[in-house]
Amino acid sequence: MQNNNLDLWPESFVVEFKINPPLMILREQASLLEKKTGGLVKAVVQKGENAIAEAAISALMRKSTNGLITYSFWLLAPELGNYMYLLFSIEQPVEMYPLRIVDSPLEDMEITSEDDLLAKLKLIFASGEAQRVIGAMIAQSQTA
Amino acid sequence: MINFMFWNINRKPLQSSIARLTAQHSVNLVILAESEISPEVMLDALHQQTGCMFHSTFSACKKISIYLSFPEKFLPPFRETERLTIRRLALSGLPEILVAATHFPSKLHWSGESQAAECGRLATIIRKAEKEIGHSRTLLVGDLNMNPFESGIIGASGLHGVMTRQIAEKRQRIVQGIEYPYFYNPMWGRFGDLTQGAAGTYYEHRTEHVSYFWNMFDQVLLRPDLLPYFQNENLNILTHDGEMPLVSVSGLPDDSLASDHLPILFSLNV
Repeated sequence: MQNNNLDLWPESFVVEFKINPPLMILREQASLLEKKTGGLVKAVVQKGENAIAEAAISALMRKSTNGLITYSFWLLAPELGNYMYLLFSIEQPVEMYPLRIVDSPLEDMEITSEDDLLAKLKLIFASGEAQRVIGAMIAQSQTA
Repeated sequence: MINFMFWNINRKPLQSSIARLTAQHSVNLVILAESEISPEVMLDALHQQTGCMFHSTFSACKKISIYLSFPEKFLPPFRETERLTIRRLALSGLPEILVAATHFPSKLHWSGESQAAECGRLATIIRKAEKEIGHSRTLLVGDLNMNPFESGIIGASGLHGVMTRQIAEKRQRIVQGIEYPYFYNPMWGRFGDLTQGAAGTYYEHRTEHVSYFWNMFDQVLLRPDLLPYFQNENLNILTHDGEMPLVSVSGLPDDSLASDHLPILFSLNV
């Protein structure tokens, strides 16, 4: 049987554009914060902040992390020497959902859909903790 | 010489005791966990006892409070989370030092596995901060709510805090292809009753088969680059504030006298 150029793949793939990747949602929200605070407080999304930690968790708990991707959402104040505060992190599988929000001002949460993610982000951004931290960063930046 | 004191004060109004300890030991950085003392009250007590003007610092980290004998501009925050503050100690003419302080979740609420996992996250944030700043003259101090021998503290992918200088001076080791830098954890040398001072920083008599009685939850860990500035004899667990004992007659931390944790004092000869 000749199989040197045997291609078993289909001609094309169905790429699902109906869902916005969580990373894109986080980056959109990050850019909005900068506008709302006149550039005094920005937000940055860092990928894989916990890559080594995930390995640690996996080893210590003797279970697979199933290839979770971690994104950390940091608040950043350029006027304060690029001071940064970790507001929350998400841990998502490659399929995107369900994902988990961890280290947030609210309790850890499992997120099942894009709508759910948007609703929970709104809660986090409106939380007293987020207000307190962003307010303090603005106040300090204005006097720096 | 820069003198540091860390104390988990268990939400007690211990400003007078803190101020006496600060004056007695010429403390430059007072780092507190579980403090509900307002900055005004704390600064006033420090001023009255030491005769010096102390300063509070901007922080979004609710779990740690820091007071300084020098202006706060010399200790700006760099990275913070709810439980961690990493600051750049940059005094004129001295090498910059990264000061990280934390209060870890309690064993009452978190399993040992979760605490260990959180150590991995903490270690990652510290390594990233060191990489961004470009040096690793770093110390980590706080109530870690774990003993030095627990996997989160000793594990390579955790804090990697080893018990001797000789090991720490090798700087790092590789596990499964990943390089992990060491911390030196001098608290190992303060365990038990052959050492100076109390046998630990926290005492708990558990009514189960395994009980350590004394625990060393409050710790300072140092990167190898800070070891030339650190002498082990300049690390002490404090049991008396000069006027009042912090321990009972039997030598145990006494919540009715002060806090259920004992303060630790250490110095860097920079």
